[in-house]
Amino acid sequence: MDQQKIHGMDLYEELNPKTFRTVGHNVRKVDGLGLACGLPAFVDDETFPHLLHARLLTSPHAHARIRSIDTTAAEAVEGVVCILHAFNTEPIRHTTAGQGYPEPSPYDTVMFDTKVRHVGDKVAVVAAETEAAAVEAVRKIRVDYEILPAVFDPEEAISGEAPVIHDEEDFSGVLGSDPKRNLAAGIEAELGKIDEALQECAVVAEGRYDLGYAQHCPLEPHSCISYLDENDRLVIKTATQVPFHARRITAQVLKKNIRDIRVIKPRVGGGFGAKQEVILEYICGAVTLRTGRPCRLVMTRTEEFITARTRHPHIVKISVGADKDGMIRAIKMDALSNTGAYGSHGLTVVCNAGSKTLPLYNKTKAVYFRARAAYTNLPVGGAYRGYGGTQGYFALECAVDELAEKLGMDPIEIRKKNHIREGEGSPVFAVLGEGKEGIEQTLKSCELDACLDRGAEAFGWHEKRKRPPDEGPVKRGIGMCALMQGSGIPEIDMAAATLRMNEDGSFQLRVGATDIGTGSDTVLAQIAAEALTVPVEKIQVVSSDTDHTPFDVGAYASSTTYISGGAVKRAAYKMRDLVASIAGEMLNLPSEKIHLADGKAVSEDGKSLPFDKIALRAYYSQNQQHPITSASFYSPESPPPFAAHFAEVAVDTETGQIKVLDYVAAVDCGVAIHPRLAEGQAEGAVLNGISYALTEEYVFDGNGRMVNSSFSDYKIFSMRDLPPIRTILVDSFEPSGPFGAKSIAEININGPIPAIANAVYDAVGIRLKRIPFTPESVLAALEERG
Amino acid sequence: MLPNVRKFYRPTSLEEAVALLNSEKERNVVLGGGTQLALSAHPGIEGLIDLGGLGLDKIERRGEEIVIGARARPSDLFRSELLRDVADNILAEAAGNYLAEVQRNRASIGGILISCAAWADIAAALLAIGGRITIAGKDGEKTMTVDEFYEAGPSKAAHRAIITELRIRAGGRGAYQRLAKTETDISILSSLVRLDEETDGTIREARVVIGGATALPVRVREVEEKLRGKRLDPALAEEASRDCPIETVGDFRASADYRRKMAAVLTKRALAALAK
Amino acid sequence: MKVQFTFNGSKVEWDVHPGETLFETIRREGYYGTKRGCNTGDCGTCTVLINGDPVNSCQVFTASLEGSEVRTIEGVVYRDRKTGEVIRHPVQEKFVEAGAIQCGYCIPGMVLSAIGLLEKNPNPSEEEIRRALDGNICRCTGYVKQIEAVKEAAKALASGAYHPAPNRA
Repeated sequence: MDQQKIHGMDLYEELNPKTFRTVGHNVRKVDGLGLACGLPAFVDDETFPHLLHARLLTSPHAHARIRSIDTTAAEAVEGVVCILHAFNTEPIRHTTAGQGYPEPSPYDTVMFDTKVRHVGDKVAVVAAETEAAAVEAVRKIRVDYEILPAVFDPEEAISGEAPVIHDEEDFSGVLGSDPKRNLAAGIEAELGKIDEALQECAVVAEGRYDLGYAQHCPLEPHSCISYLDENDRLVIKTATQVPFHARRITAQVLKKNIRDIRVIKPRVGGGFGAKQEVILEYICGAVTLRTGRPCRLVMTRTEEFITARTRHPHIVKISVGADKDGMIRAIKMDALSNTGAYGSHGLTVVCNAGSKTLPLYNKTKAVYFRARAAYTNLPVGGAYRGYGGTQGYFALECAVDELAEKLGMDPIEIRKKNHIREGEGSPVFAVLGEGKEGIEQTLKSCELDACLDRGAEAFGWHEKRKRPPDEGPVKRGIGMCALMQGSGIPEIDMAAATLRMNEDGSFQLRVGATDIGTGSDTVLAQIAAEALTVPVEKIQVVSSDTDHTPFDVGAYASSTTYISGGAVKRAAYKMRDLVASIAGEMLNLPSEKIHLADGKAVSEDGKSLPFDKIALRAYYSQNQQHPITSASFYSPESPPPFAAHFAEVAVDTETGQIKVLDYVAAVDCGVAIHPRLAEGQAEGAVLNGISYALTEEYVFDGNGRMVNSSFSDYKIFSMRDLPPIRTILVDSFEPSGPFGAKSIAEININGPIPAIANAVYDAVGIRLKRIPFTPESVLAALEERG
Repeated sequence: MLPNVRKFYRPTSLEEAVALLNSEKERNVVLGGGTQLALSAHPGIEGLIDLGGLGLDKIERRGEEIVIGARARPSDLFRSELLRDVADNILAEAAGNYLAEVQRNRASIGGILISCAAWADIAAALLAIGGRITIAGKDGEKTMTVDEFYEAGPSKAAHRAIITELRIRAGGRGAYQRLAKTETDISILSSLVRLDEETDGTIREARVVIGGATALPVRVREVEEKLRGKRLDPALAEEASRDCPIETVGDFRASADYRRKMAAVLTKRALAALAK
Repeated sequence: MKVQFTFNGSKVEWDVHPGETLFETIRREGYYGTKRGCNTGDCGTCTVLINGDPVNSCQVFTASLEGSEVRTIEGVVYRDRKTGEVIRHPVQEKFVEAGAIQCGYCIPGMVLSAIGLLEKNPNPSEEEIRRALDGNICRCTGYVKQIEAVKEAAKALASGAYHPAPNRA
């Protein structure tokens, strides 16, 4: 492979993390102080002369055809400048999913369609001199709807009897698409003979697991400002996770050249997948192109819930069988996702319900997986941290817990006996990828045993298991689960980085990698600093501007540290060689005899040159050049991070309320480049997972209208709701990752649901199979059991 | 943003405020804390009457009574030393569960009462504690009990009038039980009890209130009857709360049926806590 | 109408619409550290200090602030007029050190709530910290590091290292 050795960097590099000077240390987050001081950093923290304020009109109906739109009264509102809708814009069929090209999501969306398919679907945009005028005009648009029968249940939707949601002629599908049956996508795979294998098993655990809608709730809503620059190019400043995909999809929808659009990502106020979606950019851009004026479009919180994207609800049916020794021999999983009105990420999320979970137990004789994504007239699914893994692990890890119980095994032991290990692969890797066949891989790092042991010890698992049952109505219980995810999408995700040496011997790092609050600017600066032997203060990061930084797929699929970090490390290794060669010229030595240390080029015979001297010579003195290096990185593999989660709960058997008393997440993310930020990723994901398990839900009325679409009624946890959460970063080294790193962004959101469900079983003996575990639903389950 | 507000009044006397509220020429509304009004975009409101200059924000003791100015904030109630003497501090505790700190620091108790924020546990706590509400209208001041206030309905009881203060009796014992999905969420249901007992422990008056069951908090007379004249012990706590016959409604937080069950459970727990 | 109050240490007289909120006023005046996250008073990203108390600026009429003292995040950091040195509040420093900041959208509000708490209660318990910051919602961090940061800031303030400037920029 041509990637094997580039500029002294082996594709698989063994290093001793103990020697790292920057990686593995808690340096100051490069954007931290500015954010703490509230400096203008986000899209909406800036205004422009002659700025137009845009607002969306969204559909009040779940399914309707638009016969006509009358904007007379709206246009009469003082200050209204531009109204766009289905009858004055061109319908370019595309997907809003910000994925690599060609996107594995059906082309089933246009900017403004003549059909609305869910309550909250976009109908029109009004741009006006003031926001108040835009709001008033939106109210005054008259839309003549022909209301169509709607379908809200995914099983009913694909039954063949339901109203067809996508009847457009220019629909273009992906694997398993069958719009006439409301199937957005699907995939099926069988390894071995599943039914036989299950029959041979001594014990089998079966169940149906239901997960509902949830919203990412980044505190910053989707925000976008567009304007024309001095060369009439369209500039879009947007809160996105995918600036380059946003540029490409905007160009597609607005029929512009990619080169004629510039996308700028400033600081972004959280994403979690919500902003891996291209929703506002082309609308805002269309207004600017029509009017020539800057335009601002910021979603309301209600629009965030119903017009933006959500987590795909899933029904996951599972059968897991083991032999009498507790070896898991057969797993059958059937996942049906509800992708809502559009198929954004429909195929890949449901696919990952299997591909991110099934390889965990690789000693099977047979595995069967079927995945289908159903269209319904409900809000649209999208990417959401965990991305199918959350859904799949609920089923898998609860079923494995049940197996352990049936076999009389400790839940930790059954996992230890069965989980994938370093040096092993899984046939599932090759069969299931993201929306297509996968890539074979052999693990080069797996510290799941250490996660299980250290987590259990910190949690007091063995002591707590010996506890006698509680007296009184409140019963405590403990539960756990094991997890894996991935690090980027193998052979798809690519990132690039450029390093420029400044005149003072410091460096500017330019990356397309998209820091949305994750800390990737800091982590990537650390990687560059480590490679270049300088403190992180000597690395100035410029990130995510399609005019000024190299390409990166963006912040998704747990890819940034691994993929973008790989590119940064490569560019930095090239820079090392370049600096050494300039120093060699200065010292009259071949560059092989020079190495870098402490910000200096050092020769074997002990001469040294500080970087600033090398830079000044390169800029101004001899053989002048600007020391610049660039590199790209994509990976033939996606090394999984691993985790073991432990939860202790108290179940109030009179009210049904569950309180989490203790939570431990032990994680193998390879080398944690910035341990505190890594812990922060884990803690944030765990808390989001806990609230998804316990309280978060979309409640719909009979017409598909969400009744709790605000932060007043859809409560996310506050500081007062925080249970004790402890994160343990287990020592690990991934040879294919930059300085041994793997990912940590998503994995930890997948644990709370099964860990809590298993703890509830331990406490009160009921297996909860539908989230959220609200007090009322838990009480009902307790009463049903009697 | 109230787009059509043209006048912002800062009256220096209650009479002036009441007169503005009763103006025939323009539609003025009272501004207490403003936390709910500021979020509204009501086009019909033409003037705001800020009560900030009327000194209605104090909490003080007058004899056997604690007097709470209508502009006292939930956070003032939560921190008040004086309220600790009232039914074991249940009003303050309920005030501490009013949404979140950034709202507890601005909302007013009068606003919570008048705007029908009866979902707030504070509103139920006030009914449990009992007391009198002073209301200034164009015919002068009148007082009514909290019970009367809720019976009439807040908008009728204080029609074109201004709540100025609440007077509550110090003493008594109290208990507060709440069930909510998250700490800062509106309670699915709450149960609040105040007991006033003779020196020998005989219950002279029991006030048992359920919040969150319907639009307004309600007293559960049947339970109160079972308690009156007796001494509370665990058996009585259990017996008195076994049946908690109240009307409940369902919404996205919980069903009517679940709320009915929880009324009994939480009331049992509140009484059990007092029986210890 | 005109409203006079103290804004970030300086007396101001601003011309405002009588029905507008403080959030609208301060953004219009160019103070962008105050964010909007929800439109319903439920997220705390628009928190400011009014007479020392953290409050959602979207739930306050500017006209009602006559004579009040208002601080936004911009009033917490200041530049020494003589040396140009930027002086930050220990809460801000500790939030950075503790790794309490991810996306940062909620952070100005949270920093102000923490300052409001520590000015009244220099040695808060963890329970008091959680209660004081319960209106500042964060989806990124899980709050663990933020609680730690407030505790550390309390210690730093107790050591007396920070003196608020008499003359803020």
